[in-house]
Amino acid sequence: MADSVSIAAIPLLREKALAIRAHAEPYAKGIHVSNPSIALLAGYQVRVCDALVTLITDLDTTDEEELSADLRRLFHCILRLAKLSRFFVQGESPVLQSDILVPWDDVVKKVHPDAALIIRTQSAYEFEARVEIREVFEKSLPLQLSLRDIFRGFPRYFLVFNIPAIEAWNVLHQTLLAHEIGHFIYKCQRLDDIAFAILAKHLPDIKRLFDDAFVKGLAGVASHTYEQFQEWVSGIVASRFKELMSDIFALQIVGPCIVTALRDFGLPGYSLDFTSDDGTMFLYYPSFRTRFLALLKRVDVFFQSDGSGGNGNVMTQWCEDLKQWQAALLASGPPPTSPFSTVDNIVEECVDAASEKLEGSTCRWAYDRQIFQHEVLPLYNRIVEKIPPNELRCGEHQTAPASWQSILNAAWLSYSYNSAWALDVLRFPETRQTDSDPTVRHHALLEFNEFIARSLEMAIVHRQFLNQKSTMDGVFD
Amino acid sequence: MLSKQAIETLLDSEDAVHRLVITPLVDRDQQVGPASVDVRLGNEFVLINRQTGLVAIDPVQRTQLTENIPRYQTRIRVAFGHGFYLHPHDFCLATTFEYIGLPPDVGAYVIGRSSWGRLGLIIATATAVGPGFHGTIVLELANVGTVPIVLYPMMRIAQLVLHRSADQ
Repeated sequence: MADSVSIAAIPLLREKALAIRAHAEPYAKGIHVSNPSIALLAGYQVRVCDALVTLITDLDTTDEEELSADLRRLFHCILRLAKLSRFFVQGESPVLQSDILVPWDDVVKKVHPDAALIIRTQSAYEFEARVEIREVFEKSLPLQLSLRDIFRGFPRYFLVFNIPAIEAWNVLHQTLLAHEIGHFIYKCQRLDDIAFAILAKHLPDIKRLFDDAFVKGLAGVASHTYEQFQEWVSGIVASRFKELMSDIFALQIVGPCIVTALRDFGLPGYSLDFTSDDGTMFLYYPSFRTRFLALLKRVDVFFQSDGSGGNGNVMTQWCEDLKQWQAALLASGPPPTSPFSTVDNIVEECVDAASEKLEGSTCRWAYDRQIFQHEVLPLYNRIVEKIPPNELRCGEHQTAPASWQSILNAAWLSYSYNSAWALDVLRFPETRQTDSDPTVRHHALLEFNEFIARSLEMAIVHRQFLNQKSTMDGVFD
Repeated sequence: MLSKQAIETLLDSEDAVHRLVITPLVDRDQQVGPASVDVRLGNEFVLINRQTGLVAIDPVQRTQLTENIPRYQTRIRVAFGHGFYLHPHDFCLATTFEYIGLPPDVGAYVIGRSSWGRLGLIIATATAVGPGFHGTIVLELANVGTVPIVLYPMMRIAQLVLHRSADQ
């Protein structure tokens, strides 16, 4: 017979499972839920809770050891379910305008049709992606439950993107979500194999790096064996490769504005060559210099005009500035003796191999460079005229909604070059702040952001309207 | 009052200053009428709360008025395809979906569509829009009927009747 403490825990666990279920149920029914992914996740939460309650009720209390193991597992499962419950509240934050999130969800579904997306705010000042909520469930659910039954119809990938709460209002910074989707594309493309193959080829270089490490001052290596060091370097290479590829995918998703967005978000806080060797996360991130160089090497394709769209002055200026910045970065690179240059060289080889592998493959989620060339300048001109950049003329008396990527690019272009707004504009080759009052600048930025957010929303709703008008049974007439 | 042809000419004007901007005009053929332009309902609503705990709204006490607004109003966003229920005797603020930019010599009146009026929905009490106005037009919606009315963003909710300023 089980001990009294275990027996006493049973009703408490059941009560907790019922409480989590009660919290999830309104979301599962779609009450006050604007993101259908939240309703979907809440539905599964309810289903898991139901299964847990049945399991708890039927627990075998005769075998103490078995009961104790079951309770431990149930406790962890309920803890995870409670954490998932936060997604509902944080994913329905009023600053995340539901219609603006539609295209991100659309891109995710184009990457993998069996994927769902929740975007939520968090207090930490970082953009972050998590995948595989299913795995979270699978690892923690009690063995007695039939996972196949519970997860029937559950998306293969359930992505949760965390964006810093303090930036949630900033539609321009939401551009960085493209990098997080890049992580998902990396995962779906199974690019890890490339890194492993190239690492195997570079084992002698890693050995040399290990031997030289003390001389070149790579901290933290003194206590490592060669095997540990090799594993450590492999981890860094794989991680940096993933980050760089995610940047490159982000460039394909949203176009050149990702360079500006990354610069605006990252560089005010970190230097170009910041990498830390103290074991913090930044060891696993490439330096901003490496990231920008990888992007700048590939951004050119968007500006190569087929002649039909034409390039306005400001677009030419943008392209020229990006080229100049690339040259400046190359010229002022870190010294070649840096211990990380070996790692960076291996990573670069991985990136080149991956790019070669992916060349020519069709990407339904990619932003068409011809659309970029045709739409961005007219939209930019609308911004200059203070007209929302949400639609474009497509014939006599006819207009069509602009693509959301074009709006973002036009907005970043205006943000970067329209100095009359006195924003924290990007002045190539260095980021500088204007001399104007920061409060005035911030208000101007808020106003600009609201203008762009509204324009994006209009374009997205306009497109939804055109797609769904026929199925709405005359509601709009 | 501007005719359909005059409205079309203003909409297609190349002159940025004198252009009539109504964007997006998702269904121009349907929305531009003989002497008016239909506008659609936006997706943000400010509902006036029934239970506020306020004794009265005193426009003279401006600071107090600003402080009390959160108790008095609730902001609601409605995703495309979802409905907003306006209950009998409820009042809310909404906006047009379209961004309107009037030339400096053109003004407008916002008029409710008769089909809504017959259902008990009153639209816009402050109906005049001055020449040169730029922005989305705020609509004051009131359900004076006896049953709730479901409002969907993008419905054709009102019409703009445009006119030229007299001294032009």
